[in-house]
Amino acid sequence: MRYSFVLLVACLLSACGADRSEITEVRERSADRTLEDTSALSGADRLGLNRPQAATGQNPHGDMGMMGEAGANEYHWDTPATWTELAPNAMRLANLQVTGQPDTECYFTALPGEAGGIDANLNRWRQQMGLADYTADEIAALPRKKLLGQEAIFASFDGTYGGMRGDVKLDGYRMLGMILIADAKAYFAKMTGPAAVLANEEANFLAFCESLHKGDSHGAGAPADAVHGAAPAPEAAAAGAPAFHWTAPEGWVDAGANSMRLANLKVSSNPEIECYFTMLPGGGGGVDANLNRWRKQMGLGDYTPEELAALPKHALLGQEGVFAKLDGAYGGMRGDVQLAGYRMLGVIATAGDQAFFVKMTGPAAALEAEEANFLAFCDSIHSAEGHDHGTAGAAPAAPPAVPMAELAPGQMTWTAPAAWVQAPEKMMRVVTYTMGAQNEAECYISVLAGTGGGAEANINRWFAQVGQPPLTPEAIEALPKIAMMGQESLFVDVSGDFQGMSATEKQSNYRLLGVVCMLDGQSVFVKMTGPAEVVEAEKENFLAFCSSLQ
Amino acid sequence: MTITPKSVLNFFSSYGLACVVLTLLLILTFLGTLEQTQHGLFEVQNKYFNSLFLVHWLFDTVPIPLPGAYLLSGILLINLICGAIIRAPKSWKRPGMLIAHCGIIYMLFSGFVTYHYSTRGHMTLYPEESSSEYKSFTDWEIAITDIGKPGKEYVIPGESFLKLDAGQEVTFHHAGLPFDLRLSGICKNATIRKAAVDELGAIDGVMIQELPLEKQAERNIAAAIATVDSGGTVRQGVLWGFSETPMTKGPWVAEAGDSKYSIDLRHTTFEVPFTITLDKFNRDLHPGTGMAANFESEVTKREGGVERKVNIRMNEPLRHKGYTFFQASWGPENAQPGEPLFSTFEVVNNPADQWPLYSCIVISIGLLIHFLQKLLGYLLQESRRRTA
Repeated sequence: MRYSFVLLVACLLSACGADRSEITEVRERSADRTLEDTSALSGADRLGLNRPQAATGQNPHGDMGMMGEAGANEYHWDTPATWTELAPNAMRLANLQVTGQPDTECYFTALPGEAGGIDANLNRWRQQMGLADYTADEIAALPRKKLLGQEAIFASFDGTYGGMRGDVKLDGYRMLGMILIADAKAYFAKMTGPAAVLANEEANFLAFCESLHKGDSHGAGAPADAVHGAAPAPEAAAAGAPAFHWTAPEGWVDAGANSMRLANLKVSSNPEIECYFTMLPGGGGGVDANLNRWRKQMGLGDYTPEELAALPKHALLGQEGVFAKLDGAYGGMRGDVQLAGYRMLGVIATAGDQAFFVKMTGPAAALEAEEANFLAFCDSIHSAEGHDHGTAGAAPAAPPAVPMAELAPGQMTWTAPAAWVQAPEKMMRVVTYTMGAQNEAECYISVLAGTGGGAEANINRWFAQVGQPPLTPEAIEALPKIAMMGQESLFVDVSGDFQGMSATEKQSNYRLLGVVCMLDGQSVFVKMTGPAEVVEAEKENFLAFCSSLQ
Repeated sequence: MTITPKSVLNFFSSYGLACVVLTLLLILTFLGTLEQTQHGLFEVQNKYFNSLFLVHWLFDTVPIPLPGAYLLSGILLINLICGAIIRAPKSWKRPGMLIAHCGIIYMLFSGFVTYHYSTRGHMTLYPEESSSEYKSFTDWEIAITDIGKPGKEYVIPGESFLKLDAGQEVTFHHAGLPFDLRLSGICKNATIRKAAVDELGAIDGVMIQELPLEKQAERNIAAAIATVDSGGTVRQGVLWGFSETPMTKGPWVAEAGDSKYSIDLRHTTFEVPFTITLDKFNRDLHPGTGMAANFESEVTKREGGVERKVNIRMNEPLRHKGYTFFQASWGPENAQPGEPLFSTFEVVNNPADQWPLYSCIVISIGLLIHFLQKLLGYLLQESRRRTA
């Protein structure tokens, strides 16, 4: 009876929720330790929800090193008004959510190196959505949007989201993602959530990405103007000014410039239409050759000389250009598709040793309606200085991530070994030579403004190109040095499987020799790559070549 | 049928029971391994191997009740004691089998001791950092400390509040503390977010957002709302298991009486009776990758003014006073070249650390004696047959 009463009281207490327990464990700890007094902080400040907050890296003291580390977050952004910030972690420098939509998430992260590259990461995301990999053509056709002030690949797809670990299956989801590889880092912005919700959040996502910047102030990522565009030519970029301006016709949108396209536009009413403007040095191979290259892309035979002579003319950058209109089956830039019923509009003009190209492709019927816009776009292109064409000696077409230095090729002299063969001019290079029985090795000089990203980043990029792990700063300091241009310059000699910047395949048993010379306000790089035995035979020549540079 | 002590002894010492138990253990191992593909190791271990009973869902539709490996191991222990020790004929004719069975009993007992009395966690150090404590991977606790007198911690183990749902609450008190601590909104895994203006349920501008449990239990981050009631003055704060990291500013500190108290929800922390300092961390990478081929830590163990230099590497742990330091991992994974790396040791304190090894030796000796005895018997028999 007595036990029944105790049990009854216990049950009643439990039912009332009046669970009260005594703390039974008291531990003695070192009295020397200091504990942070956070009583003056708000909860949001204490828990890192108010920026500036967390950081990159992993937390060594926390939960199996999964989470964040000390330090100030070097990235900043504007959180859309309808979004909420979640606590960041080591992998998520920004961690956000649409307010009231717990199924949504958006994050920004940065990883060193290329983190597998753009294609692999895009396809990893597609796998997370239960989708097949993109083809190379599909990836090439993806639009560019602003991330950290630069052009990043933007992808959006719907599918069944399997979560970061593939342990769920969420139907009707959408993923928005942006990837940028720059400054020896890979940057990712990604948003997932129900497609219906994300349909209304895409603009916010793009605005968030555009607002992301490094440091205290907003960077160069000024919003792209959908109507008026500008692209920096290399020299101009160094000075911070764009080289070309244009006006996009109504209904056209800026898809974002890339390494080969100074202007890259799309017609909003038809995503199959694209139009771009580019510039190549050295005549770009000549007008006729390029026109015939375009005809090949349309599945057509070469122009006859008479046909070429009869082509209509259209002005481009104040020069008389040739206007071509081609109907056929468009094979894409790589010739790996067959799009019947397509049309190509193109204008090519040359000025000095530069060639300018404006090209538009899309379904013939749609382009019929856009032809006037195309020609108006060509007319609108002009150089920033008000000239109609670039100055002589203007550099390469693509706006490089690192600007070319002011040191002009003519200001440099060198003595090349007699057996070396000078190769045609290439972008970003002062001069290129080839060597070896089949000219299988090459050596070139490039000059970049400032530190060109720094010796460490460039040397480790070279190491990465031959599949070797990066060197520590101590190891870089310990590299052998040679005299070049009056400076003690770092000399790199590394072997491995070489994969150049634009190569798709690795070349085994290669060797890379490189010299990094830091001058006042600019940096000079000399690099030789080729089969190991060829480079071995040419090493003395390479060193003599470097020594001869003045 | 009447149950007599003899019939009970017969049941528990029977070969049949041993066969059934061993078969069930085999099935549990099979099912547990399969289940691990769907759920985390920690969860599966708890369900299949640390339990008395469990329900296995066949094809996610048919419930099959099963005894847990903990219960089966207990029955097997009783079966071995009753069968091999009590009922077996006490004769030196088969000493090997007796010794081997004793070895198996020893092994089962070491498992029991390990389960109930061992602790496991990690110690993570950057070069030149020292520590004399390690943290559990999965268990949580709340430590309450007067920040003006940090020599004493009042500790609430996680199992006393994490068993509750978010809708329940529990209050803790101690004569040494001038307040009651009430915990509510308890989540085993949660993140936090900044609350909207006037958002219902926000505490000090922060909302706790419960998350589903992670497959890997060590990824769960517990959270709760703490209410400090010092008799008239009530203060509330959010406790989140991540607040002890440098990412944030630190645990919640509440004023109560004339003092300020740190109320820290953290992974269960264990002290070791010596100090480990990481002198240097070395790693060799596979060429062309960021993957470590080898990594080792050069540490100094300090105890009572005595220093000892030790290298800890894979398969070569530091063992001292019942604690074993294994080289577990390193980071940050995304470290730039030249950036300092931290080294993580898995620390295990297990009174039965070497017992499985000893039991295997005992079993081996027993079997060796038994087989030698059999061989000698056979040879003698053959010899007699030939001479006869």
